[in-house]
Formats: sequence, structure tokens, C-alpha cells
Amino acid sequence: MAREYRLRHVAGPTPPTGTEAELVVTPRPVSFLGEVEPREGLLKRPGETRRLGGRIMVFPQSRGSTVGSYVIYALSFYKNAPLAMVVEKAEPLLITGCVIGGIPLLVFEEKPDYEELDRCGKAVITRNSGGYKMACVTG
Amino acid sequence: MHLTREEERMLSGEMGEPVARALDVIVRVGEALGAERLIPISHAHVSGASYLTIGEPGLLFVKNLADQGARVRVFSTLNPVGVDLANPGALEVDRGFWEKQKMVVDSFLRMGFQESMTCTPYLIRKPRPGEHLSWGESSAVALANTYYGAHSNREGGPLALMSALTGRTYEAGMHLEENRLPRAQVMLEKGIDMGDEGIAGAVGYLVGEKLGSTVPFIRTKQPPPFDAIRAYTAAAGASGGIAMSVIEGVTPGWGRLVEKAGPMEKVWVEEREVRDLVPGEEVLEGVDLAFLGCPHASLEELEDLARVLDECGGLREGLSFWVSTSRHVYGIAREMGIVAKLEERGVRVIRDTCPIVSPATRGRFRRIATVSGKSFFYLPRLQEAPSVIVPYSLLKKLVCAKR
Repeated sequence: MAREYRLRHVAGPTPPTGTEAELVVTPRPVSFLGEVEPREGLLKRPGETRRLGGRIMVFPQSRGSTVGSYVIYALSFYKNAPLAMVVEKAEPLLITGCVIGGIPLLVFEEKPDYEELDRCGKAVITRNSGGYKMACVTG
Repeated sequence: MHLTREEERMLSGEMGEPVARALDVIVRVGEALGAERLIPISHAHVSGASYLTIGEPGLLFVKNLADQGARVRVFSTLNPVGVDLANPGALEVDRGFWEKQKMVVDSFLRMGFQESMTCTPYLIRKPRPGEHLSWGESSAVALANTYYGAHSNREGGPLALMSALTGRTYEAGMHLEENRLPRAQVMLEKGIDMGDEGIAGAVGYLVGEKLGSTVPFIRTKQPPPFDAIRAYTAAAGASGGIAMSVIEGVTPGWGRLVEKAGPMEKVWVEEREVRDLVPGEEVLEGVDLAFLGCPHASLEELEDLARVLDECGGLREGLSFWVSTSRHVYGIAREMGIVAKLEERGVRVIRDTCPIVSPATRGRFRRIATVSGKSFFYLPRLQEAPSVIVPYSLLKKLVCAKR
């Protein structure tokens, strides 16, 4: 990843500095109800099946049903929670899901390049002055 | 965040563990959204009542609260569940599911929720302009903001539940006028009939995909009827995260909101895009279930359907027709003889649930026709059921027996 992304922590626990994990990047908004299967821990939609547990989930924002908060909680319940979620816009139902599910939720401070992030594979989130940053892990 | 003395007492545990926990969640979510204080609400409506959608984790979450003696502090209503509680024979659901579902419902009722089981709480208690609500159920939230001029965020089911237990929500998002100003004008190409529920739903679907979570402004020559507005807001809250639209001639104070908003970005919805979603007669081939009632059917929709079936003399052979509605509307329709009329014509009228959140739909149908853009979004995702949107104008062609 050519650049580092500055992040702001908005809800859920703070990510431990040095949180390193595989990225699951999707450039389309996610409806947790209907597009995420919590028992298997999968993001599942036509042409796209990705495992979420222990990964850093990157997407623009949530959409759809307000039952989505329960689906996020269920990801944690079944031990399939991502290590962190990173979004452009945090809407109420997503925040509530992360608060009760105990998942760190962070927001990009600038517009992310999803293709670049997708190529990155693995990333590390570290604390810096006043916020967090996410960078690609190379090698 | 500034808390009142009463809120401090809630948080301290003086009013019980569930109240303390509920207020803590509201404060955390509010802080994430920049709220500086909490506000009292007049009505909480919780989504996440079907065991199909919340599963075991959701059941334990609500059951734990009820077991700890949690009680609602304001008027609180409940979303649809996965079965017809009033008529167990109405849908084929296995016993295991039925028992789990009963446990969810019992938990909510023990906490003092109304036995509403509907996604149309506004038909039970009409929201007033400017009043603060804490509602889950994206379609109801969008209608509360758009049509009634009340204020609610698209609250997650659990947050609305926390609001029910405390009578509070946080002051951010849709509760503040600056966030209710339209940010994009939707330009509908000529020929798109927002008066037809099916078409209005398709437009909502497209607006949700194009705009994400912006507040759109929609100009129409003629204000669309109530049920078409419901179809539109429901679809836009499914394919997108649209909590509110400003509709000319409909949304209370729309003129002021548009004036305050100033110049807006323009977003086009073309007739071709609508036609791609609602292709017309050819898609009716192979449809074995037609479905009306997402959101739950209004009395007018039930009356209309009864009239259509009367005119054509009954349902086409090989087609099942399900209508889902609230027990509230069902009760009125039964008194008026509409339920009997529909049933005589072969329509199955279901209460308390709908084909989206009931396990009875799965694997039973080859192709489902619906006038609802919201169902069109969820049926393939939750029920693995291929579905098509039919415009209301074609409903007769779809359902009527050939002569």
C-alpha cells in the first residue's frame, strides 16, 4: 500500500496498537441482514464470499435492515467477529452493533482507495498522535 | 455528554441493572455520533423480533433482559415475528422454531411491549410532526421522517430496545434539523409513475443504491398516495441507508427544508433503469407465489385487492397468493368482511409475520412476484427465492383466472 490511511476510532473497544490482520475489502455498502451469515462468519453475496473472523473488514458504510445490529452482535457471539471494522461513514445501526458486539469501529479520515487496499492483503493498525493509522504489511 | 440528574441515577444502577446497561449503550452510541445530551422519546419501536433473523444470540439477549426484570418506560411496539401467532396453522413452521419464537415474544411481552408484531407502528400510533422517536425497522423510520415529520434515526434493534427501557435516545442525526436538509435532488425521468406502488418501490430501490445515506429531495407533479410513499421509503431503506426523503407536497415543512438546503447535486433516475427492475408482463411466466404486504398491508390495500379479485372472479390456477398484515389492520378488515372475501377467493391472509422473516417461505416457491421493492431486495438474500417486482397496474393480469 502506497499510502497510510489515517483513522478515527468511533465506537467499540479501541484496537490494540499493532493489530495486524488480513483485510476483507468490499467497495459496496453492506446490509448485515441478508448479506452476512454470522454462524459461519461469512460475507456472502453474489460473486463474493469472504470470511470475516479475525480479519479487518473495510467497507464504505452499512445499509438495509436495522436488524443488522443483532447480526453484528451474533458475529461476536459465534466467535466470528472481525478484529476491527473500518468504514467511511458510521451509521447508528452499525455503531450499536459494534458497541454491543465489542468490535472496534474506525472511520477513514480521507476517501480510501478500495482497489489499492484490496491488493494490500494484510494490514496493521497502529496508534499515532491523536488517532490511528492503517498501513499495508509488505513482504 | 451532559446527563440530567435522573439519567445519572439510571446510569448508577439505582433503577436496576438493565436500565443502567441500557443507558450506557445509548450514551456510547450517542458519543460516537457527537451527541451532547439525551432526549426523551414518546414511542420506541424495536426491530429484530423474528427468531429467523436474530437467532439464538438475539433470543438470549432479549431473554436476559426480561429475566432481569427489565420494563419499558414508554409506549413500545414490536416488529413482525416469524410465525402467525394468532393462527398457528396459517404457515408451515416446525415445532422447534415455533418454541424459540414464542420465547422471544414472551420476553418482549414480559418487558411490557405492545402485542403489535408489525413493521407499521405508525398505523397503531400516529407520529406527530417534530416528536422524537427511537425506532428500528428501516421502512417505518423513513416513513416517520418523510411522511409524518417526526424525528427518528435508523436505530439498530437493540438500541431501540434500550430506548424503550429508559425512555431516552441521544440527540444526533435525524433529531437535528441540519441533518434533515436534502443534499441531492432526484430527477425522475418523465413517464415514471410514482403513483404506482410497484414503480415507487423500484424508484426507492434505485435511489437507495445511488445515494447511500443522503437525504434526497423528490419533486412530483402530484403527491403520491400513502401506500406508494410507503413502498418508496421501504425500498430506499433496504438497498440503501436512507432515513428520510423530502417529498414535495408531502413532507411536513418541505418548503422550508429545501430553501434552507440551497443548491443541490442532481441525481437522475431514468425510465430505462426502472424498466430493468420492473420489466412487465413477460416476467409473470412461472410465478407461483404472489405476495402483498411489505411493509404490512394497509386497510386500503386489502380493500383494493378484494375489489380486483371480485372483478376478475378469482385467483388464477396454480398461483398462491399471500397477504401479510398486522393483527391491528386484520381485526378491522375482518369486521368489514374483507378478510372473508379474500379467503373465499383463495388468498391466504397472514398476521404478525411476513414471507421475508418467516421460515415458511424457504425452498417452497420457484418464483415470487411482489409489488414491493423492499421484498425484491430481501427475498433472494434471506429466502434464496428468485423474485420479480410487478407494477400495481399489472396485478390484475397476474392474479386473475384466465377466462
